[in-house]
Amino acid sequence: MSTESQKRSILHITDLHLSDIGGGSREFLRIGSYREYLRDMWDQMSPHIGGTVDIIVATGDFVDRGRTGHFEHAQSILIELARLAGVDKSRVVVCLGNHDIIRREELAGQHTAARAPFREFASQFGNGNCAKNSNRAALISFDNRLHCLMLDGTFGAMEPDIPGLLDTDAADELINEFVRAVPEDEILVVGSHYPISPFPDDFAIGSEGPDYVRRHFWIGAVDFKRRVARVRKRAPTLWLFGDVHHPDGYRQESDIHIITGRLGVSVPLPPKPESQLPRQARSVVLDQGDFRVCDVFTANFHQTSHLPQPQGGEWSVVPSPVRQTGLLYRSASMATNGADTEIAGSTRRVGMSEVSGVTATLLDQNLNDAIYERIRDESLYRMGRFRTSGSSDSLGWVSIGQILGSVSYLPRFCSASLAWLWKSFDIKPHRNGDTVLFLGIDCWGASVASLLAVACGSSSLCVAVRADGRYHTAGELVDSDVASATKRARIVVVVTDVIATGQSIASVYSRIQLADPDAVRAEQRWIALAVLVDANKKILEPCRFLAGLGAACLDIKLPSVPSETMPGDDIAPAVVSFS
Amino acid sequence: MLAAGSLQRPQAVATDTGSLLAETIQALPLHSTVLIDCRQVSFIDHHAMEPLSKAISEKKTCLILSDTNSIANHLDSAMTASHKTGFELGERHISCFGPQAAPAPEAIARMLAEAQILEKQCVTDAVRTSIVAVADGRLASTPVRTTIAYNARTILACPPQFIWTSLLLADELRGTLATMKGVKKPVVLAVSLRASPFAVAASQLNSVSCEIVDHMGPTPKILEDQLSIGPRVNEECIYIGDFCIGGTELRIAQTYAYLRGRALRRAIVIGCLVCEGNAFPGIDVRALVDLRVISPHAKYEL
Repeated sequence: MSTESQKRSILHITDLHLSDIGGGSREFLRIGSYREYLRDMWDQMSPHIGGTVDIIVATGDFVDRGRTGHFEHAQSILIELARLAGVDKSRVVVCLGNHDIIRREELAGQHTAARAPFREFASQFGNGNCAKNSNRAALISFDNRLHCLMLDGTFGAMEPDIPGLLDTDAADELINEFVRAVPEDEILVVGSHYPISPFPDDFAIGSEGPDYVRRHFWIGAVDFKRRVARVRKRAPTLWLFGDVHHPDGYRQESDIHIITGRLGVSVPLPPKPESQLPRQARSVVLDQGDFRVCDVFTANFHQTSHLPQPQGGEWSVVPSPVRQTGLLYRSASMATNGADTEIAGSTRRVGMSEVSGVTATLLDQNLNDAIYERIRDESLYRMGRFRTSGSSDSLGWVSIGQILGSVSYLPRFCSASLAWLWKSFDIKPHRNGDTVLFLGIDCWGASVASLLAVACGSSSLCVAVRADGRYHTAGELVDSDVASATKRARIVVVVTDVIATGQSIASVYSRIQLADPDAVRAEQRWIALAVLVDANKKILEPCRFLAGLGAACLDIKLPSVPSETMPGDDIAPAVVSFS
Repeated sequence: MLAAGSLQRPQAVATDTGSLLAETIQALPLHSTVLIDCRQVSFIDHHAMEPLSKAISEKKTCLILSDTNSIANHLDSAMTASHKTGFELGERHISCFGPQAAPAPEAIARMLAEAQILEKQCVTDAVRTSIVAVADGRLASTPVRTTIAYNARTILACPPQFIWTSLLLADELRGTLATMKGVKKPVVLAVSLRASPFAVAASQLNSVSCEIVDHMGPTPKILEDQLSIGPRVNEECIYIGDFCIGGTELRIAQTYAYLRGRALRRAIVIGCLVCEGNAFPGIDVRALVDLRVISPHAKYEL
């Protein structure tokens, strides 16, 4: 029990993937080393959460590829973890992952037999003493006003290793028999191996498209999750997921959604670098008295590849703020039309903003929020006088390099861009050749354009626009090569970092027309992509030729004024001047 | 991995990658031998190998995957083939799959050596295609007279050339980073428009931050700097550029780095005119291509 009576701590682990666990194995969770691996994690985690937890939740894939003989070792692991955490094994709850099923039986339609070893394993823990259970779910209630609903997200799957179906009758049963059995003012923890949408699409959807979402997100449970939120308004629901191995977390009103990375998987042989994904465990601390309070602590195991022993590594624990969805940041003055749009098999809220006839589409709400938070938390927004064109001065400036230059944001922006291009303009990966051309404006635009072009099997060209190209050489400006490539293209995607007035894009367009009047054709489609677009701006007049505009973040205002209304440069020089 | 679009996880072989590989094999003649370099690949989606297994079975292809140290076990269980072989070649693990027995290790070693030559040749050819005439005989970056220059934009415009150049730059960067373990935090620095895409690609493939300063070359005019962010004494820069002739841009970049409290002692470029070790004192410059080999008759005069 927590030392503070109001606080409830939940330890979440997932995806052990026990495979090679005997002598000679390099798996950290192998028989010979799992105790010290877990102890080291607990030693780091424990001080952050008061030395103990209320429950331990494990969300599936205990064994790898149906190796049900390893459930015994998985049991040892969970018992050891419970011992370290100072709780009885009855306070450990588990749910099934796709790897925990005997595939042979499942394919033969023997669903019960396919899950029998897992159910035997689960019965050793809290699942063996559940208040209610069915073939899809188990509800376990504890004496401290904490309840766990553990779901089988694989049930009813049409093929192996994808989430199952959840028809109306099944959802009704879960809501009425399970969810409603939990008092509305008491915490409910829902464990599911497969994440339920919406969640960020930053880790592969750009390359794998709808197939990735279909294989890893339990789309069939989206409506069920919404119903849970409607039924339970007085206490938070904590949703814990695994499967995708990429951690994430967000909060929507009082509900918290967490994906934790995998705890297991083998270590590759040195001197090759290990997988980039750290092993993980997480603790979520909720306040029973004030449901707005939520702390998340993530234990990451970083393999130290430069050490001689391949098993070398260290656990470290960091607080992991759970971000709110972007709804908080939308001001009343913004003309924003939210629309629920099907993207890649999931239902996702996509912000649209009408900007002077050109509709700016928000690529991904979570990316928008992440960029906004980064700008806010690292003070990347500067006020001053920034002359970006001959006739207007911007009063705000964001150093895009500080965002795109870090390892994580650029891939997210690229993935979201690719998904949007595919969904909205049928630009599929790999196969586009000369029919699609990516034009990158200035340094970051050129860098992003080149990566997108590779993913689409197309060409990219870089063009300099700043300061009207006065400080660039011929090989960097719009020339006959750029015009020729444009002429061959059916779709031209212009990529830039920030769109404030749209003059840069319009400049490229008109220069290409000047270089070759036949290069720009009526049947062509021009699309723009940018990291930041000020959705309040109503001066994208020069860009009416755009068929679409995708933005990573629409929440940053970049006010500008005509230069003639500002004092002279001698008394108020521009901080940045491209003129 | 760039080609497969796995931008978020370039170390992962996703389902789409497997399909792309399968398509490539389907386009080859029967009984081909295909060598796939799996360096830095640490994860494969267990669905990714299904189309590949089918393709090699149908085309009777001998599939050789090198550097499968991190994924050998996964591959073995994920791939279906009549013959599966795995062995060590020095520090590299080799996995072979196909309808017949794998070639002998010596033959595979030769293939790997030839592949390395081919990769290098691809970049050399790319640099050759980037040669442009210099209109007034003067370079913009360095005060020398010459008749030829190199425009990296042509490499950028050709996807296979851009991909191979970026991959080899990433390999060089990886080697450089390995010598910097325990030193300050490395940051890739690019200072020109045409170098930026290569620098960003190489840094992403190595999970290293990248800073772009617009721009110090060819015409030195900084349009946007990062000085407002303050000193970064805990960082060390690795310059990644396109072509280095006199080294002017490199020196400017080094000075800029020093202004931020950072060292810049390592540089990686696509092509360099002067490749001797002491050509740029204080900076270790690695080039993919020696420009004197590309254009042996080019003359440079002050």
